[in-house]
Amino acid sequence: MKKILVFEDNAGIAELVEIILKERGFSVKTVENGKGVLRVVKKIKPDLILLDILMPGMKGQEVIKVLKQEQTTKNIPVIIFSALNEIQDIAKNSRADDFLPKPFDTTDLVEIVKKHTSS
Amino acid sequence: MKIKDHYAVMMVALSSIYFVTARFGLSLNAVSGFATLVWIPTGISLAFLLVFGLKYWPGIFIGAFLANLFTGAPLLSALGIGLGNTSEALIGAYLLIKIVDFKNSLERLKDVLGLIIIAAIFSTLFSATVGVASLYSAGVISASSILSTWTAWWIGDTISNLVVAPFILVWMSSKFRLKTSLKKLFEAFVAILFFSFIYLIIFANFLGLPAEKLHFVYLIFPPLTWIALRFGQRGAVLAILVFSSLATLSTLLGQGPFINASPSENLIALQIYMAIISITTMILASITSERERLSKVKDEFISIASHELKTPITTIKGYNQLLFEHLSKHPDKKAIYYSSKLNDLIGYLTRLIADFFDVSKIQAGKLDLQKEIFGMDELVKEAREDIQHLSNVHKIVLKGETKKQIFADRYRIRQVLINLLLNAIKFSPKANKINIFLSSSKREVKIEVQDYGIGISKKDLEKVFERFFQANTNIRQSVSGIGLGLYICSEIIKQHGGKIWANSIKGKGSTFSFNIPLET
Repeated sequence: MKKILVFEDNAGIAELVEIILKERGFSVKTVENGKGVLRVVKKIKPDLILLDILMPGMKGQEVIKVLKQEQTTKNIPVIIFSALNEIQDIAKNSRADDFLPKPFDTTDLVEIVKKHTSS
Repeated sequence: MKIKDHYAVMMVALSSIYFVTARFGLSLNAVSGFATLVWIPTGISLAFLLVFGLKYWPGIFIGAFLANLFTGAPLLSALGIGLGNTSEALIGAYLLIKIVDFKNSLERLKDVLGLIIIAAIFSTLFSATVGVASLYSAGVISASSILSTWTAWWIGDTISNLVVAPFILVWMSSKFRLKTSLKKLFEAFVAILFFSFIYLIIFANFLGLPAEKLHFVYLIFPPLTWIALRFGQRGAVLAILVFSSLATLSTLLGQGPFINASPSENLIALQIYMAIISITTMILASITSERERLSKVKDEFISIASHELKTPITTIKGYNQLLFEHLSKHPDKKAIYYSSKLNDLIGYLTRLIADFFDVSKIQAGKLDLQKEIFGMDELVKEAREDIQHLSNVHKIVLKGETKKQIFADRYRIRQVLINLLLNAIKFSPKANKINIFLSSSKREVKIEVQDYGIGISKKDLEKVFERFFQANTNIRQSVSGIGLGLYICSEIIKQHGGKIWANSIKGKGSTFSFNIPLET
């Protein structure tokens, strides 16, 4: 079972993502604040990270930088998702593996997660 | 501990600066020996109190007292003048803080107006009045020279608060950044050349033009307007200070247009000139800053608003899709229909928010294209499929192909195509077919979207790409547009160097076409 780690501070969206992905057979762990991201990632060792780029206590771009520099975490795909209009630019300028604009279709969410966990 | 934390050091600094600049001012053409037309210390005192705090007022008193004593004022008069000068700065600074919540950067109109009315015009009355009264009561000046001394005193202080104080206030209010673009540097260079050229025409017989003629004095406004509009309050106050200094110097040396009357009349004419220049330029710069800030605040607001609106929509949309999936497994036709309606509306709402955001970007000239090379055929196929899902009434038929790669913003071109397709569906409720024609020539690719719907009248056809335009239709829709979609489309296509247009026959249908040039 693939493990997905979701960083999302909005409880409604966090729960939604959890339901959608669990129904498709993923194991999901949700974290609702941005503190100590690296520690959490190292502990959980997820197959994929879904990252809301605007969260209290962290800056999404910096989190990706840290994750991508660290030997043990650099190969974990990071997908940023956000309602920011500039999400495409942010994805381009950070080392995020992919992006998902909010609001998203359930099918898009599932597809993008499958795409980055299947390889 | 920094120097500015030492009360005594700061105080000595203020009184020394006051003393030196006051002695310098008094050495230049003083009226009755004490009232001088160039009174730098007033502006310095006001700025000092506003930048470092009102508590340093004794520094002004000491500086003014000593400067006047050394110039030969009787002890009591020197004390009186010192008191007048101190109250001027203290009252000016205090009222500015209390009444207009003064910000030293002078980037708001109310700061500039406050400085002009409260500091330059009003507070200076105290110094002039108390000072002249002190001199008169000590018998230093006669009754006949009261008026001329008072006038010179007051104007000298006013000019100082209009020329010297703003420069110190603005340049002390923010950190100086040397980082600037080469383009801006070049513009500054040209502006300085222009400014110097005008100065030379007004004051130095440049190009053989007669400098003593007054009508050239207005020429300074174009360069100052340029500086105020493009270099903000920093540029404005610097230009005002430099120009005023040069103008005063030239006049004292007997050059320029202000040399034909008596020396004090000349200087008063020059000072009125400097006052007007300073007031208009600072006001213009402050309004420019306010306008820039307003547009920034607006952009931020729209950005935040669209983010905050999208967050709950994400949840609503997601749960509705979960509901839809759930219902599909336990068939309930009515419930499925309601849920799909909800999904349409959520889609509409999302697009609406995106449209608002796009319009605000277009208006601000910030619709930045992210160009890449991609195949037009795939893009059109993709968009067709996406929209086909949304309608089970219309069959969307793609005709033609290009095999051409274009260099454009893929996301934006897709947005245009989707917008045209959604419009085609929306305005042809009774038809069952929509055509997409794809073609290309050596220079461009062309896409046409044809529907068999209600069509557009000739009168309306000219306006369909205008912002907030909506044709009158009798279609009863669950959702109506607000007239932004085609406006955004036309702006996107325009920015790609392409063209967008529409043909239509009322009652028969419409064809919307656009082309994108192939970059060579």
